[in-house]
Amino acid sequence: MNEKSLFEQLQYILLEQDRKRNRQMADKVEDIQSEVSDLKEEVQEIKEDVSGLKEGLEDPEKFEQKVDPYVKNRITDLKVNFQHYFGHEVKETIKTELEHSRDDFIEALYPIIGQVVRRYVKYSFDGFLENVNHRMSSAFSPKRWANRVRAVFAGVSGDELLIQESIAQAKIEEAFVIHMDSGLLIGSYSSNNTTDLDMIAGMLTAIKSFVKDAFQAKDQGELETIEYGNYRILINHFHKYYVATVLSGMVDAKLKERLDVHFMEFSKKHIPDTIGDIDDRLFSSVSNKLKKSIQDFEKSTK
Amino acid sequence: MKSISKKIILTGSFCVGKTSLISRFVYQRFPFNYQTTLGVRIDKKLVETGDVNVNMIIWDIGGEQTQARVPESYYLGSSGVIYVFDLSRPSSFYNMANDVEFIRKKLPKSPIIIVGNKVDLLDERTLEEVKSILPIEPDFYTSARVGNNVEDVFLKLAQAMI
Ligand SMILES: Nc1nc2c(ncn2[C@@H]2O[C@H](COP(=O)(O)OP(=O)(O)OP(=O)(O)O)[C@@H](O)[C@H]2O)c(=O)[nH]1
Ligand SMILES: [Mg+2]
Repeated sequence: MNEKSLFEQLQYILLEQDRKRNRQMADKVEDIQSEVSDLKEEVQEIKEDVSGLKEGLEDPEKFEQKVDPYVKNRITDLKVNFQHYFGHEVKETIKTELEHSRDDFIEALYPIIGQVVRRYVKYSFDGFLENVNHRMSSAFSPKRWANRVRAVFAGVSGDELLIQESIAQAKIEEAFVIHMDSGLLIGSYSSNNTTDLDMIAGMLTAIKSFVKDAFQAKDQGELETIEYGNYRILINHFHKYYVATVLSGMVDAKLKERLDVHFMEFSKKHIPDTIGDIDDRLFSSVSNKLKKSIQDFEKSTK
Repeated sequence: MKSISKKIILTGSFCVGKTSLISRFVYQRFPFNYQTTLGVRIDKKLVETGDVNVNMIIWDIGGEQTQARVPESYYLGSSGVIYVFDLSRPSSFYNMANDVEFIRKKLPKSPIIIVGNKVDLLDERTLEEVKSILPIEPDFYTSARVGNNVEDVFLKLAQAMI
């Protein structure tokens, strides 16, 4: 037996352990080395990527080219699936917003809606009135029968003839420019030499103020039309005066509107900004211009 | 001659003779039967004052126990006021000082003529008694029935306005 000294033996045992460790270490180092080289490669690749990106960022066109497809994709996705992604949230937000600021909404919308509704009702009502007036007058007037007879010769229906006539009939009988407070006549026009225009002007003013007082016109509303018999009086308000036009025949909304515009122009051109004494000079100058302006208006409607 | 338009009002208690005064002045007539004025009635008359003609647009306002009850808009733009009371009916002038004060505040620039009407109903002694209890001395004692002083009331107002 190869007698090894105990020392040797012992050393061996000890070294055996060491040797093992060394081998393990060597293996590990090898592993690490290969890992490092792998990492190095990766880093190189990343470096290249980054520099590519950098280039793209510095050149917006290139960047866009790169990013565009992704963004587009995302947008189409959102478009298609928006309801699905956010529908609930949007609904909730709107609901709570509306509940929280109910008053604000109402306040903001009220005048608009109010005006729209009022206008609508007014015009519908006017239309309705026109309709009724027309039916009443045609149903009860002997004219209808006369028209029937004439229509046989003219080759149109009696009602058609009646409608044509009543539209043609709309005529300005009288017009007044009236001082707002005092009801004094600033100018007037009459197609049939009516006297007492002064008094009519005063009465119109009294009626107007009666209506205003009676209804306590909260919204600064003013009387705009008066109807009596076959006449209709349209009133256009300006700051210090108003214009009242007495019309006979069928007055429709379109004619009304045209008159509005007409008197607006007239007022701008022919009525002095400050009205002092209402004397005969002012009266005749305004009256003359009024006459001419109404004749022009009637010509233009024919 | 130059003429100038002016709005005037006749006001005061009911049944004192406002409508009658106007009727006398404008149409030289006196209506015997009483028809109360509802709201307002409008008349006109050209009054010659010498320099200028005044085209008077006369607002005859339905009588009210106090002026505070007259619709605001009737005063608007009025260049002159005729305040009428009935000499034969004390309740028509008891409140006169307040009324006149009220009108003055409403129309600070407009002349106010104060008229005691129906003077024909009072004998001289009674008239003196009434005069002694009137809160304000009127500018004129008139009779719409007989015609005393009626023209003068309107003429004086016309002159005061121009
Ligand atoms: N005796 C007499 N009666 C008068 C006089 N003036 C008016 N009357 C009468 O008094 C009544 C009332 O007259 P009106 O002129 O209608 O009175 P008013 O002030 O206009 O009355 P209201 O419109 O109700 O405010 C009528 O019966 C008239 O005849 C007058 O001067 N003398
Ligand atoms: Mg009266």
